[in-house]
Order: sequence, then C-alpha cells, then structure tokens
Amino acid sequence: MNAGAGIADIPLIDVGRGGAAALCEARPDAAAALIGDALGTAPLLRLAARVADPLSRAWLERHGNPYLHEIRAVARRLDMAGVYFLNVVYEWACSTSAAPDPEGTGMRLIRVLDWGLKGTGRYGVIARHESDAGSFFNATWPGYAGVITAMAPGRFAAAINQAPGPHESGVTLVDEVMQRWRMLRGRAALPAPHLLRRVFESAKDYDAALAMLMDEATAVAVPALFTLAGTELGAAAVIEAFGTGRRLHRASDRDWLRGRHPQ
Amino acid sequence: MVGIPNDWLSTDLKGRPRSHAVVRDARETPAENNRRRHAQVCEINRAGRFAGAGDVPPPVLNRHTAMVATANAATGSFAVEMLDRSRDDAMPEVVARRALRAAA
Repeated sequence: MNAGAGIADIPLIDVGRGGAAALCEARPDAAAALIGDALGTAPLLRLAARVADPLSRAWLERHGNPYLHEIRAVARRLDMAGVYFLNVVYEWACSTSAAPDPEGTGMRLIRVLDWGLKGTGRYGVIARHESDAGSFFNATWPGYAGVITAMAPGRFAAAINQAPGPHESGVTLVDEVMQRWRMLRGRAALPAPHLLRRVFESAKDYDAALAMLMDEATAVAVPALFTLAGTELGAAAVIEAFGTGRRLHRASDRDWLRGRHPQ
Repeated sequence: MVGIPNDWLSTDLKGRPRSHAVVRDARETPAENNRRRHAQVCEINRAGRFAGAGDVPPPVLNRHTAMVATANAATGSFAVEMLDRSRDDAMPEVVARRALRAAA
C-alpha cells in the first residue's frame, strides 16, 4: 500500500527477540545497499571502514558488548566491510523535544534526526521488538543493533542526540582522534544506542528507564544526550551522559530553562 | 517541556557544539545553530498540531535530515517519516512514512 504520491510505506518488521540479526535476515538486500551507499558518501570512507572495522570489532569484543553476537551475524550474512564500523559510528546531529500532547493524553516526543551518510532515509524501517519488559517499536536500519529513536506502548519513548565534541587542543580533528583513542583504550563502556536498547528491553516504566539511564555504574563510550518521555503529564527529562557522569534535567525542573539556551 | 539540540544544557560542561553530522554550515557557528534548533524544536512542540516534516522549519530541517518522528507512549502512537535528497545540494524530501498505534 502506498502512503501517498511517490511516498512509500516504511516497512514494519517483527524481529521478536532477534534484534539486528533478525532485521538483517528480513531485509538483507536493503542492509547491503545501505552499507554500500553510506560508505560511498565520502571518497575515503570505504577505505576508512576497512581499517575501522577490525578495530571496532576488537573494541566490542574487549568490552563484552551484549549485542556483539547480533553484529557478528550481520557481518557473516552480508560478508562486506563496514558492518562493525557502522554499528559503532556516532556521527548524527538531532533536535528533540518532549511536551504534553496537545490532544490531551501523555507526553509527545518530537525528534528530527540528521545524518550525513547517504541512504539513511531510503532504507529506514520500523522494527517491532519483543522483550521481558514488553514490546517496543524502533525506527532504525537493517543490520543496526542500537536504538536511537523508539516507543514502548504504555511505558515510555526515547531518543538519543549526539553530545558536543571534545574541545581540548582546539584543533577539531586532533580532539576527535584523541576522543576515539581514549574510547578504544578506556574501561568497559557501552555505545549509547546499546544502552538505550537495554533500557527498552528491561525497564518496565518511565521511572525504571530514568534510573537505568542515570546509573553511574554504566559508562557510555562517548558522551550522549538522552530524551525520555513517559506516559504521565510532566514525565519527561533530558539526561546528559559522559563516561560514568550524568546530569538530569526534568521537565518539571525549571532550572534548565535558565541554562545554556534559555527558552 | 524539555528540548535538546547537540549541545549541553548544563552550563558547566565543556565541549564543542555540533551543527551537522558530517558537513558544517559556514554561515553560522555551531553554537548559534544549536541555539536556533533548540528554540525551534521546543516551539514546534509547544505550537500544538504537528503533522511531520512539513511542519519543521530550517535549521531543524536541513540538508542532512533523514528522519522525523513523533511518539506518545501513553497512546501508543508512533509516526515516522524517512527523508532523502535527490541531489547533494537539495533539501531532503519525505520518501517513506508510517504511522501506527499500538496497545500496551
């Protein structure tokens, strides 16, 4: 069924508990085409992926990543460079807000995602996951293991924004390389999209999700900004995460309005 | 209401705000870009009716925009639009969409 003139329906795919592997198995051609297009975005990206792929795989192995088996299955299924690299790459910009829904029930999350890699719009899907905490719907791409925008009916919705980049030497490239180097050498950490997936799989409600995102026992690999929206009016927050550090800005807390970007 | 672009809300956290994913816009600084996006993404949520990408002004909508989504866990509604651009210098257009409503 066509959703409008020239506009397709986003595929809705039941992945059960199979995650990225099941999603890739359902859309292998789209997964391969996405990687091909994405790595064609810049002249050296394909070469960079060949170098970064084994580094990314080794990093996921060393940190005991909970979704490594899925990413391995995707890599085996597609047999092409870029699967590990694109599963840990973290280069998107976004704008997100959460406010009382004007239709009168709950909180509405609005999320706009920017990503410079080609094909990210064309190959998007919605995956329906099953988990111990309940089902959730994940706007994602075939072969990608993380969660960056999702909604769990009756529980919460959430999204990730990329946090500011490092600013130490003043030279962007040097700072970015140093951040990646520290990430490769650092203590056990989770990519932020993997932490958010774990939250959707484990948290029974908004309060449990907030507690997991605020848990300073879990280090995020690079800084991230989480927006969480619950089912009750006023239940929304932004969580700033950097390593094991966390900052919380609740919708009910007016202090953030006087922060860096007064509204 | 909470809103966030690609900058810290906490004034004491350090970092270089990000404007776009890969290519940066030379006409404004990343900090200015973040301030505008923060204000706008809050405003479109505050404004009431929101029908998707057509209601998103620049710079929240920009050459790199790949997805616009709206979610409400209380009603189980999830509306997603995927965007793509026909040329590198063009603004992206909606190429696929789905709106669903699921019971808890």
